[in-house]
Amino acid sequence: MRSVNAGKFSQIFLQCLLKQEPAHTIDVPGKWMQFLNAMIERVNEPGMAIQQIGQYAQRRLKHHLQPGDCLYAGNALLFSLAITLSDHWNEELRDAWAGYCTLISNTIIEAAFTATASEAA
Amino acid sequence: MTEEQITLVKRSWKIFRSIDPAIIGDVFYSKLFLDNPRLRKLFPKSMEAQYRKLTDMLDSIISKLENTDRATSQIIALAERHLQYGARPEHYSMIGEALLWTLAHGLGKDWTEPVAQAWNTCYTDVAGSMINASNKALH
Repeated sequence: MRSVNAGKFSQIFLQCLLKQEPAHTIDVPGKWMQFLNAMIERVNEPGMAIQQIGQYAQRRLKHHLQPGDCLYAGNALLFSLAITLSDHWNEELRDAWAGYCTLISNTIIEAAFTATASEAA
Repeated sequence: MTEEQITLVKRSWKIFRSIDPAIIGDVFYSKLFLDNPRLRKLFPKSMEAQYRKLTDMLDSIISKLENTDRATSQIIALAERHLQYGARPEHYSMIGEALLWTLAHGLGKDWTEPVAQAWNTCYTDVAGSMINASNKALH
């Protein structure tokens, strides 16, 4: 996967994201790719990944993060991977990626909920 | 709904309500539209005003849960209004799934089995009344 053209992959990802929700205000697609890279490096350390994702979400909230975007991003990522990996994409890979995407999006959403609830308190 | 379930819904709503309505709305509608893309066209392009309306509407329904008559008349009016916006009886189960999913994520450890059951009953009752009112208006 790392041998795939990152620019082309980002383009497919972004197109898919905007097709799902044209009103998206996604800022810098490169940031998502950077974040994704960091998460993949942490795939064997889920505890560390969760901590890092939580911190990322709290940082991004200050820049108007819309946590719902990560649901679309997860979906767009699965779609982009399926297109890019073509014949290499199978059910086992899909389940593994879907599981990791769910972990990431749930962590971002819960971190955003917790952060704004703490602010209100 | 039992009295105990009403208490559970009200208590958990109070916790949930401390979350920023913009974040609640963003997560709820993202989940709803991702799972049911064809519902997106029933809503305006810019959703920000909708986020506040969602929490205000839930606030209002939950505050009247003990008072069946007041709740019912409000629910009928709500169903009729939503019918004009294009909401149909079959949409209520989709909305219910997204709502319970959002509540579960927002409440975290406070989303216990009895709380989940209470919300499920609450939504089934409210949606049931709205579906009946919609069906009456449609036929």
